[in-house]
Formats: sequence, structure tokens, C-alpha cells
Amino acid sequence: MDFEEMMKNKFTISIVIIIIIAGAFAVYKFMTKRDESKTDSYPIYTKNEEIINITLYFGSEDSDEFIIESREIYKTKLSVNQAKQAILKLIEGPNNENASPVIPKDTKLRELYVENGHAYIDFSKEISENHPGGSKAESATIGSIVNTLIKNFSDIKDVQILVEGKVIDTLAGHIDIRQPFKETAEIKNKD
Amino acid sequence: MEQFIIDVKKRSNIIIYVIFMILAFVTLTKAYEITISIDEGHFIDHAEIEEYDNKEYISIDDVVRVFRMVKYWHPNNQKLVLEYEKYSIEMIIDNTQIIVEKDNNKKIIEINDPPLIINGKIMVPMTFVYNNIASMAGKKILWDQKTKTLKVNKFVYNITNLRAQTYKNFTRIAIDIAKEMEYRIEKQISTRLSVIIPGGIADTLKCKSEINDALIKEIISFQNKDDAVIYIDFKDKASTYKSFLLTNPYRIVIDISGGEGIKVKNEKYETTLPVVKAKDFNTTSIQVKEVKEVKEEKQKISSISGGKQEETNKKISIIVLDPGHGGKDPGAIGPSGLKEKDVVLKIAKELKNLLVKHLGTRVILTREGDYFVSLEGRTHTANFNHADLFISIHTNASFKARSQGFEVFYFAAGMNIDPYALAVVMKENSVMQMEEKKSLQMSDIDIIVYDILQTEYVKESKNFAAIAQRALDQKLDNRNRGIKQGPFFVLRNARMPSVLVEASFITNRKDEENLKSNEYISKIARALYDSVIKYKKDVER
Repeated sequence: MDFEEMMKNKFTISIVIIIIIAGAFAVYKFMTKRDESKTDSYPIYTKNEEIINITLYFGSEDSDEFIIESREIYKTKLSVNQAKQAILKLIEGPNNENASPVIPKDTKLRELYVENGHAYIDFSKEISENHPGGSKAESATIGSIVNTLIKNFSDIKDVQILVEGKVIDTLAGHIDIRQPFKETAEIKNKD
Repeated sequence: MEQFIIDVKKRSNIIIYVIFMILAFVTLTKAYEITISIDEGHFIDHAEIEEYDNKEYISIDDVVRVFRMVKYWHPNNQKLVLEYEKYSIEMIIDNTQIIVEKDNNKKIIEINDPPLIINGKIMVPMTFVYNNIASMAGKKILWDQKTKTLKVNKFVYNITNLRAQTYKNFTRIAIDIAKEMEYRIEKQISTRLSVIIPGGIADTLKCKSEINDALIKEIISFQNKDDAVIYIDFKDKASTYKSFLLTNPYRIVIDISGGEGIKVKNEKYETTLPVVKAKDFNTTSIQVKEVKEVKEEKQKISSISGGKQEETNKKISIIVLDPGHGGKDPGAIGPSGLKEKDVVLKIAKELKNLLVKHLGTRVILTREGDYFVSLEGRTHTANFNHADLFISIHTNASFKARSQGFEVFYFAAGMNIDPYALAVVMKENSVMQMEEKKSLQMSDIDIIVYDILQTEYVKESKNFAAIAQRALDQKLDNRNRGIKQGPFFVLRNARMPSVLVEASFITNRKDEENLKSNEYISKIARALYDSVIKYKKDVER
């Protein structure tokens, strides 16, 4: 067999194989995407949905109480998407002069899901890496997240904080966050 | 193309010829070639084995190649140095002692047979490859006699971890296993228990403990052909043991108790759980249904023991101070760059001096310098030394720079209980009860329950927290933020009264300026010193 001809044949075969693989991949992608959309790949909200009010819990520099602020979110079909919107608003920070932010800079909400009343909230590593530290700030971070979720969403009974998808010991070396949190403390209404 | 095919044929002829020659050579010299299959045949290599004194030896050059080591040979003193990943291995010809260095830690290890020079080649015993290099490489090495193949594969451990925990009158060892496995325990010598797990592959780096408590010196594990072996070395040969297998997850639990005559230590029994008010604390709590079970358990204990509250002569003689953070973890950082880890170390050192000098107490710091210590490590130091008081020293931080002042925390019992750990302990208890119904000592259950709930010391911890808060208030001209409770990691497993002091806010400009001055540091140390005196008086009264 002529060498060049053989190479040509090989080339065509390779092209065919590549096309088949790419096709299979595209079909696979399409299938999985459809599958996801059945569960939770809805966009968090669409702007033509009804607007509802929720309460965010921020820190206070003067005491260990929380300062609450009201925010508007879209009433999405899935309540978990409402919870996600609430946490995104919490990350944005407070408007009140006296309130202090509770989520460290550059922290991203990776995922939030609710299962049988247990909320699992997964943040990016910045929540720990950029945390100012201290028992006070750490308590504020945990308390605000937990309060914001439990007080606004009746289907959430307790909250497990995760970082980069994992249960970790502490955010900044003080409070044990290996277990879920429940209940709340006193709230000061400065709104 | 055809040219190439012929080439290959020629080459394979040569290979066959060479193999034939080698085979011929083998029959003459008692040396033979072996195949080395690495990572399930991912790489194939060959080496030559020579028998010397009925022991198998392999050329060091083959070992270096297969494991990708770096070799240094010092002919003057017959010294061979191998560098392998994080290890440096020093061997001397004809010497069975080798030095293994890792992370600046040197260890002398006795190997079965010495390295030798045979026909001008440096040879090491195969046992050295099986045992020592295999464990450093995290590989399992199997020798298949039939195919003369040495299989070097990644370990798939089925014995993954070992935990040893000191309790007041026994030590519990839990060995995590991946599936249900047979095991036997032998007492070949009086001070050593051998746990033999046929078919076990132990992660020897994790399955060990330098516990060194009252009962056990240390625990090591190693591979003995197809068995994993764990040695538990006793301090007292009269020690006894009981063992049981637990499921979900599978683990072997071995409890070591002292010999006869070791009596149950005084334990306090409370008939009810202290009610925890999370009033002052702004994180949250979790109610676990197991708490009820524990409560019942405790009431049972109490009723058996008559519900007596035995007052014992308590002494404050060992204090563990825990300067927070350290090393890679700077803790909170002030606006002008002052680091929490440096401030708290200063406070701890000064407090230690005061206590040692004026009170004569033994004081242990969880870290003496600027290095990282894990949170578990900190509590372990206190538990291991049977400290009477544990003080964790921190400086506080807030998101905005305005917060100021000092506060003292103690553990919130009933908050944030680990339902899993509790369930595990309850399960281990019930098994123990079933197996050892007659000889079960009340304190066994009691101690474990207390360990989990942390209620035993809450009253005393709160007492010390209040004393410390008052003392800080007297010494510091700053805002008194009160005493508070929370699920603090370092306080959680402490088996003694324990507090966490947040001395001032390093994130506040004014507080930071204060924390920079030695006077202010001395004031904090002095306040904590005063509180220890007061507390000691209260307790020893």
C-alpha cells in the first residue's frame, strides 16, 4: 500500500472519529442540561415575577445584637431561589450607617440547597480567608446568615455552613461550625 | 512504513536474544531478572535480583530508577544517601541502622539486612524495598513468584485511621476499617498487644499515636505480608483490654484499662442538665433529640450512684494557656498591621511568668513561639497534661473598626452538640454494656457522656469567666462587654474548666494602640493572674 494513501485514509478516519466524538459530546451535554432544568437550573429569578419583602440581619458595632434591614426580592416559584436572592443581598451589605457588613469581601455564594428542612449553604473560600477574625466578627457572620435564612423561610429549620463544598471546623478559628445552627438571638430593629 | 515493521521485528529479535542470554546468566549465577509493574502496569520496568546468603538483593540503581530517587554515594565512608520526595535516607554499607530524615526530623531505623557491595555494585535487601520504601512511597509492593513480577501499586488502604483517647480510668483506641474485617488480638509479650488484621492494608502514617498517657506508651502499625499489624505498647504489663467491632462506619474499638487496683476516680453526678440560655450569645443553638437519651442515661447513673454530689479536694496546680492562632494563621490584624498572634503570645508568656513565679503552678503554653498549632492540638495539650484550667487568649475583631472592649467566653453546653459523635458514643456504650454487663463500671458511661456534653465544667468555667471579666474591668479602662457563651472549638473538648478571653479589639484603632504598649499587655496579664488567684481560692476552699 502506498504510504501517502495510507496516511490520507488515516486522516479521513481520524476526522470521522472526531466528528462522532464531538456529536456524542453535544448530545450528552444537551441531555444533561435538560435533566438539570427539571430540578434547579432555573435562573434564580426572572424580573416579571411578583416582588416580596424579606428581612436581612446585619451586625452591630455597638453590641452583639443584629440590625435588620428590609429588602425586596422576586417571589420565585422555588423558595430556595428566594433564599439565594436573600443571601446575595446579605453579601451586598447594609445600607444603614450603624449596621456593619457580615460577609467578608469577595465572598461568593457557591450553592444553597434545602433538604428536609436542613439548609446547606456553600460559600467560596473568601468567607474564611478574608474574614477579619475575632469571636465578635465570626459570631456576627454566622448569626446573620442563620437568622436571614431561618427567619425568612419557614421551610428552613437549621443551617449548615459549608466552604468550597466542605464542612470545615471554623471560619476564623473560634466558633465550631461543623454542625448546623438553629434558633436566633435578640434583634434590635433600627430600620 | 514496511521498513519500519522490519525494524520492529529485528528489535524484538534482539530483545528475545537478550532475554535468553539473561536467562542463561541467571541459571549460572543465581541471579534472575524480574519484571516490575508499577501502578497496575502503567509502567513496566525490569531489574535484577541476586541472592546472597539466601536473601534477595536488588541493585540500588534499579531502586533509584524505579522510584525516581536521587542517589549520592560517598565512597570514602561507604555512605549512601537517597533522596526521595520529602525523605532523605542515609545508609552505610554493612550497617543495619539507617537514618531517615523528613521535615528536619531524623529517625534511626533498624532494617532487617544491611546494604552490601556485591561484585562492585551497591545492593540493598528486597526487605528494605518492601517495608521501608513502600511505606514512604505510599505504595503496596507485592511479589508474584510465578511470573517473577514485582507489583508496585498505590495503596488502597482499608485501615484508614486510628484514634486514641485518654479517659480518666481507661484509654480507648478506635481503628477505622473500610469493611467488616476479621481481627485477632495477641499478647506476645506482656507489655504489648498485637492487633492482627488479615488482609488489612494500614495507612501506617495515620494509624499510629504517640499518646503516652498513664496506660499507653505508643501505638504503631506496619505491614506484615498480607496482614496489617498494630502494636499497642503498655506502660504497665498488668493492663487489661476488651475489644469489640462496631458497624456504620466499621471500626474496631479496644479499651485498655489499668491492672487491678485502679479505682474509679471521683466523678460528680448531676441529676439534670444545666439549662443553657443563649441570651448573651448571638449565634444559635441546635436541639438534638439525643440529649434526652443522655439525660436519661445520666439520671440512671445518678440513681445508681445515689445521686450524691461528692465534693473533692480540688487543686489548681496545672494551667494550660492557649495563645490563639500563630504561624501561617496571623489571627485578626489591626489597622496599622499589629497581629493578634504576636499580641496574645506576649500576654500568655507574661501571664505564665507571673503564675510560675508567684503561685508556683505548673503552666504549659499550647505554643511557645510563632508557629501554627491546630485547634484540636490546643485542647489536646490541656487534656493530655490533665490541666485544671484552660485559658485561651485572643484579641477580638469586628467588620467595622468601631467595636471596643473585652469579653470572656465559656462553652455553651447543649448548644451545637454533635449528634453523630453522641450517637457513636451511645452506641459504643451500649455494646460495652451488652458485652461487659457485669463488670461495667459506672464511670465509663458517665465520663463519655460528660466528654460529649461538656456540662461538667460549665459551672466552674462560668465562675472563672465572671472572675476574669471583673478583674479585666478593674485593670483596663475599656468597655466591659460581659461574659458570654458559645460553641467554641477549643473549649468544646476541654475536659476541665475553660474560657476564651477576647482581651480587646485589635481592629479598633484605639484598642490597637493600647495592645502595642507593654503596659497594657501587662495589665491584661495581671488581670488574668489576679483571676486565677481568686478562682484558685474559690476552688481550693
